[in-house]
Amino acid sequence: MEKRKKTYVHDVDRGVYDIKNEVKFRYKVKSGLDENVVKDISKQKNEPEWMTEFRLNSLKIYNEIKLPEWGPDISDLNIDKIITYIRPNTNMQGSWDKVPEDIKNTFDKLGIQKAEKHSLAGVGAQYDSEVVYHNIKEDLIKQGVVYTDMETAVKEYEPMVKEYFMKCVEPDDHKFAALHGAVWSGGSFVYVPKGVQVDIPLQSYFRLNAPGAGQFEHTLIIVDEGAKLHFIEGCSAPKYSVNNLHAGCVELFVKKDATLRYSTIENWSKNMYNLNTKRAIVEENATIEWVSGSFGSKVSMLYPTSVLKGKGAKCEYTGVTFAGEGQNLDTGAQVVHLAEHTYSTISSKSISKSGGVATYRGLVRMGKNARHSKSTVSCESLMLDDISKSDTIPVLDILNDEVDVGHEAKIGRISDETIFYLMSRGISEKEAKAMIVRGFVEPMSKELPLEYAVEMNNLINIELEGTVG
Amino acid sequence: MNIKLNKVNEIPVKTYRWLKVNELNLSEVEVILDTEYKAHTLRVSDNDLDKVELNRDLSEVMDLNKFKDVRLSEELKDISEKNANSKSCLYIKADKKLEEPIIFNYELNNDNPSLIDNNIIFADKNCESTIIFKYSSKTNEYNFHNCLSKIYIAEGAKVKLIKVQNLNDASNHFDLNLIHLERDSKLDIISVEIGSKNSCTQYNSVLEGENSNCDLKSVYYADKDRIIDINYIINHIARRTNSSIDAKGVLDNTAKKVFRGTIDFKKGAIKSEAKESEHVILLSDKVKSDSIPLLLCSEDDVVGSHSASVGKIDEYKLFYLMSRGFNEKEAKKLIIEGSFSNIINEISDEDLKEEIMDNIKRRLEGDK
Amino acid sequence: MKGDFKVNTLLEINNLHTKVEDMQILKGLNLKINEGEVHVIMGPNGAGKSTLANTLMAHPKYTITEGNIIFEGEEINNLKADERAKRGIFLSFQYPEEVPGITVENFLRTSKSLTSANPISILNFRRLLKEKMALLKMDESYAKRYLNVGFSGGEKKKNEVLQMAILEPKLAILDETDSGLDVDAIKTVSEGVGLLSDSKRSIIIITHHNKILQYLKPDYVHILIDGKIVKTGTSELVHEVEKNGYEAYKNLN
Repeated sequence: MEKRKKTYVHDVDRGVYDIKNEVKFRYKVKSGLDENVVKDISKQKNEPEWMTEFRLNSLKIYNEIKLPEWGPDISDLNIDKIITYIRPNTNMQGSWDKVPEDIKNTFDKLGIQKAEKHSLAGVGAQYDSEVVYHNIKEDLIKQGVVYTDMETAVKEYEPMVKEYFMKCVEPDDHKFAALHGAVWSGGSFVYVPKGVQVDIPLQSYFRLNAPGAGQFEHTLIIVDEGAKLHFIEGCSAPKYSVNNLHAGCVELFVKKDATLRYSTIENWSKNMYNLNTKRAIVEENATIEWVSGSFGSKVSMLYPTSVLKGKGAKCEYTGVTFAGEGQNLDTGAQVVHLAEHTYSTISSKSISKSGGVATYRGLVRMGKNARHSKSTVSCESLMLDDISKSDTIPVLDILNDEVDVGHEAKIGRISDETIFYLMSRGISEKEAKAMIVRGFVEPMSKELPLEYAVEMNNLINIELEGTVG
Repeated sequence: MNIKLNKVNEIPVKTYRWLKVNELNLSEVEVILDTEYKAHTLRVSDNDLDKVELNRDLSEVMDLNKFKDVRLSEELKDISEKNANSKSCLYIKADKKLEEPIIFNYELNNDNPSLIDNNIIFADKNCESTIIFKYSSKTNEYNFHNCLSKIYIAEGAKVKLIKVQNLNDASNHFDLNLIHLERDSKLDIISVEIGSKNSCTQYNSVLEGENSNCDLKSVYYADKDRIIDINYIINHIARRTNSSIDAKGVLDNTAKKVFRGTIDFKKGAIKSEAKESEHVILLSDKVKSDSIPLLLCSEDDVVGSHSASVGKIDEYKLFYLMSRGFNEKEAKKLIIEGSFSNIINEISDEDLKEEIMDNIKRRLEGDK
Repeated sequence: MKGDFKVNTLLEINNLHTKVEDMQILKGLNLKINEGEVHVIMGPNGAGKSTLANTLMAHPKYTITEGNIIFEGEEINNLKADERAKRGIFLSFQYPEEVPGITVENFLRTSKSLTSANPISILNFRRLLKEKMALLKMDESYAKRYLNVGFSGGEKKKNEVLQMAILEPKLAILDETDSGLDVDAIKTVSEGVGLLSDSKRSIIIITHHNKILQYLKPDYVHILIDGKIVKTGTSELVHEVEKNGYEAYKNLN
């Protein structure tokens, strides 16, 4: 029998992100995955029968599909050791006062409550497998905006959930989509009615506290015709010496003339397998904007996908990936142009350091009907030393001639001349490098609300210096 | 005999499976294994005869096992090893500068419908030479071609390798070129793919010597139902190595093309530079064009870049030419010719250059 | 050694030998600069002018193999570029680097706070920046642009002088700051440099043009040939070079 490699977790002080709470739970399933576990989860959630069936069917698909033959090595991930469902010792609350103290403090230290007060129109907070807090501003409720946890949505908005749930990402898409279909739990449901402009962002924050657990939250967002939304997703976990797994699923439906911006700062701990699926279906003249920062996790495989289905649909992707010691981050954008006059712009920046592996893996497909469409891809990679690795693996798949597709990539390191230039102005070598890295990711910081840009800079400092900046 | 070819031209690093671009799989390929090939001509100018040796056992000067792990596919490797019907060795002596190109002219015809050629070329220290490989059909009947060339460029040698493939529309062309470069050497490759039904080409270069240099310029023109499958791989091993890949192509009718171009900076290849570009012009809405330019990097002190552009002919250029009196077709033709010509102009053999340009012009005019 | 220093000596270079990638460029250069003086260093291409500038600023590729650099009475041979900047040495680069993502304003504010003893408030800094930009006839929008990114050659040079004006160094080394500029720009830049020179600050101008010298009056002119200063004189020397070229000085080495 093949000997499993010992799980190694790189040790840096990540400050607030590493707060560990004692694991208190109301219910948890045994580790591993079989029909009983799946039935158990569904029963615990008191789900309608169709959802139980859906889960069981997904499990069947999961058992049939092979692991991908490409991408990072994930052979160290053993699903038999993963606890797929762990319900925290609380119900979902609409007020922080009712959330258990330790959980509340954790989110407070992560800055969620402060952000809620100052810059967000609604917050959802998930702790392990279930959402513990959800709240949204009154005026948005009055306008018909729905922002709640998925469990509630399955019951209270059943027809809508049934119509959209895993229709964008189907369980047979890949192995971890199937896994998600079987054991999903938590996540947020958003519906923005026609013409409603949500000017202040909503944020869902996903925190995984229990060692050896999996998080499988499902985010389903429907932005109806002419509506507008900025949704922010945050995630983190303290580090453990056992593998954790995140196989979430994000399904975004952007209807005619609507705009959705989906921003993520992913900061899982370095024992996390982040095998996440995100996809948007974009209708006529609608726009999806992805702002995606990947900083944490041991292995990431994440390729936010935009299906430009309606004429005039647009996609903009701005991504930053920072792979430090012990990390293999495989990320990139996929855009499938299906209709005429569709446009995509992809800008990706990656940084690798201390043996980290950063890979841009992307796709632009121009379908048969995507006439008069245009796509521009730009990838830049920065290597901070000679023990790291950085690969660029794009595919341009073109099926019609009336298109304009361009791809550009550059790779290199910080030039000694630039460092000298900054040093000649009194800046130390270390700070000069940090400054250049911050400048390198500036196109992304610019796209984020201020406090998130600050958080991102802080994460970069943690990676650059191995301590909290 | 028809066989199945699996995993032809496998990409060095795989990507999404559902796209089916990691490799080429051909379900029915007619292979002709047991015929002789006698139409082979090798031309060396009289002035250069004393500078080369044609039947030298090259295993004493080069390690032929160097590339044993590289293949187009298992099946094709097997055919190369067991069924070769044309074997050539070319040794270019050290410090010799050849005056004229050495030409390997392979014609396939009804008596010689199949060519399975194994070529070994050793360009010894500081020599300079141009080597031309030309593959063409003198028949409309099916031709099978499977080439394996091992090319060793010794220290300080400068070689220009020109390969032109213009087999007939029914044929299969498989072409694997394994290249090893020693220090201070330079290889310029000009690849022209304008014929055959299926054209599978791989150039696999290893820049093993410090300050070695490999530039690959490639032109492909695929119309009708041709399939072009390209796998260019340049491995930077030593420090201060430079390379470039510059591909220009046109796809028309229902042609399909997969372009895999890989620049791989291995650890230790410090101060190396490489760039890669592919520019594709599409002339029909039924073509399929896949471009996968890979940039792999395990060394920070390098400069690497790649770019790809795919689309129809630049409208402004077209408009400009039309404003000068060219009709649309003429203008398109002119732009495509222009796009190709700076690569084709590098072909030093005037007759060959003219032959290629004439062929492309004729086809662009619709006289296929 | 220290005892020999007069109070007003700012920089003293003794027998300086510098190597760049195994090439010996400076071969025993001596130079003394007092506070408030303007020195011009002229010389043919390859004489070592830029090497001198880079060595003074501690470019890591330039290695001192012999001799020393004394600044304000202290040897600074082993100080890194940022430490030298903090002591008040400034180099206006011949080819300033482009740094994407960092605005001119942010960069200069960071630099200013690192190199000056007294902290400056954001408001005062902005005022200072605005004032200096006006003097240099620079559009205010440059403050928000990324450092040197997309700047023309002339804009980059102006930006160097702007940095100098903001950082107010004790010793400014202008490495070909006048090259690539048109006549008007040379005037503006020269005026900018002129504003800095007072009885305390010293300037080294490295050039092979004399246009800038129409605006900046040097106290001393040095001719640098093959890694050594072969002749020192007053501004008269500039005219002499203009007439005779450098050929005449080569045998002085």
